[in-house]
Amino acid sequence: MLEMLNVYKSYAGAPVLQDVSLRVGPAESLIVLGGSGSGKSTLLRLCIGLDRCDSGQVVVNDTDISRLKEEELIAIRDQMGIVFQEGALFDSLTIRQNVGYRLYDEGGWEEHEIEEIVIRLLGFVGLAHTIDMKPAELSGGMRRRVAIARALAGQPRFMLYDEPTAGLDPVTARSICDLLVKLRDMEGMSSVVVTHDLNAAYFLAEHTARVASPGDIRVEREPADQCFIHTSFSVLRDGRIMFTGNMDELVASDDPYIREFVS
Amino acid sequence: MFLNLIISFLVEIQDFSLLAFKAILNLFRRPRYIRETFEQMDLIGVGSLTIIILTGFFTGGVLALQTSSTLRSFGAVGLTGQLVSMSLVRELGPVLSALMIAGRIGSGIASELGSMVVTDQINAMRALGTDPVKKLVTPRMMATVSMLPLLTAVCDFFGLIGGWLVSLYELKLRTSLFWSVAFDSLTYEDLIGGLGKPLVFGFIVAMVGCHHGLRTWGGTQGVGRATTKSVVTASILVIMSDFILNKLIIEFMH
Repeated sequence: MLEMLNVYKSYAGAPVLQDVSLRVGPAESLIVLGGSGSGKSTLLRLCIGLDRCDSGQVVVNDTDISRLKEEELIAIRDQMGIVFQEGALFDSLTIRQNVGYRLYDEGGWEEHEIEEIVIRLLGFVGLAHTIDMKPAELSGGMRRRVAIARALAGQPRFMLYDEPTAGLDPVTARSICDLLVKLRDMEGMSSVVVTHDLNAAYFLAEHTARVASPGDIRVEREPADQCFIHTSFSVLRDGRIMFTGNMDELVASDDPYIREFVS
Repeated sequence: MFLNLIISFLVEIQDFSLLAFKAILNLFRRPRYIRETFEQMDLIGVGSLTIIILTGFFTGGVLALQTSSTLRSFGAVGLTGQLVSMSLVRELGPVLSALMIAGRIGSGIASELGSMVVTDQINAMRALGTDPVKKLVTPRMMATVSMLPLLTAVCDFFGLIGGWLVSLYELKLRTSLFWSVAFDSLTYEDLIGGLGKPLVFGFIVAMVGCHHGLRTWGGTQGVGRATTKSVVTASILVIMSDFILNKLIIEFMH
C-alpha cells in the first residue's frame, strides 16, 4: 500500500504541496488530475523518495520513507517503477541496455537471462524490434513504452506515471493506456497516474483487461455496474487536494474549478 | 543582497565539498564501475591527445623563438634548451594541459551531466537504484586524475620537440647541445612537481565539471550556463592552485 499523510512541500519558500493525503491499495489506480504547476510531478517524486517532504509522511508498505537515507531508499525503490514525462531514457545506451539497466547494474545475471527478460518486456510493450536502436531513433510514444518496459524490469509492485500520454496522438495515447490497464488488471500492480489528459483518465477508469484466450489479453469497456472499483480520482489545485472520489462523483461535482476542468 | 551572495557562495562550497568527499569515498565502496572508468580514460586520455600534442609543440616552439633574442644578447643562446625544458616541465606543460582539458573535458562533463539532469535521466537513474555519484562522478574523477599527468608528460615531450626544431632550423643550434642542456637542467623536484600538480588539476577539472553539471536547472539554457561556469571556474581554480602548489613545492623541496 502507498499512502501520503498530511504532506507539505515547498521550494525556496514557495509552497508546492499543502496538506496532501492520499492512499492507493493493491491493484488500484489513483489518477491525480490537475493543471500545470499544481504540484503533480512533485507528488510523484515524493512517492518514490526522489524528493523529501518538509513535513508529513510517505508510507510504502508500512515504511515511512520520508526520512530514509538515499542508501536505505534503494530497497524501497526496488518495489517501485516510475515513468517520467518524456521517458527519461539514457541517451548513450541502446534500448536493450536501457530496459535491462537495473539487471546489468545489480549484477549476478547471465547475459542470456537479461536478454530473455528484455525481449519479453519489449514484447509486452510491442517494441521487440527496437532492441538494438538508440532512444534518439524512437518516437515520443515509443520512448514512453520503452520507459514502461524499463520500469517493469525490476518487477515493481507500484508504478508511478508522470503525464504518460501528454503530447501524444490519440492512437499512441490509447496504446499507452492499454498497457496501464493490463499492468493493473493482469499483474495486480498499484499505480499513481498524474495527468491533465481527461480522455486517458476516463479510459483507465472505464476499461478493464481480461484474458480472452491463452495469449490474447483484451482491454474492454467495463459493464456499468463494475465500473470504477479499481480507480479513484484526486484533483490537485495549487498544491492542495480539492477532490477525492470515483469517476461518477468527479463528473457530478458542482465545484466550479472541477466543472471547468472536466467540461 | 550582499548577505544572500555570501550565503549562496558558502552553500556552493559546501555542496562541492560534499560531492568531492562522496566521490572519493566511493572508491572504497561497491559497486565499482571499472568499465565506465576505462571508457572515460579513453575519452579523456586518447581523445585529448591531438590538442595536447599541438598545444605542447607550438608552445615549445614559441618559447624557443621568443627567448632566443634575449639569450643572444647575453651570448647565451646555447641555453635555449634549458629555458624551454624548465618552463615547460615546471609550469607551462601542467597548466596549459589542465586548461585545455578544462575546456575540452570539463565542459563536456558539465554539459553531459547537465543534459541528464534536465531530461530527468539522473532522477531515472536514482529511481532504478543507482547512485549517480558512484556511477557518473567517481569514474570521471578517477579518469581525469589518472590521465592528466600522462597528457602533461606528452605535452612536455612535444613541447621539447617544438623547441628543438626551432633551435635547429631557426637558431642553428646543434641537436646534441639542445637536448643535453635541456635534460641536464631538469631536477627530480621539477619532474615530481611537474607531474604531481596535474593530479590536483585533474581533480579540480573533473569535480568542477560534475558539480556544475549536477546543479543544472532551467532546461537547455541552464546546460549552456553550467558548461560556461564549469570552464571558467575550473580555469581560475587551476591557476590559483598552481600558485599555491608552487609555493608549497618551493617551501618543502628546495
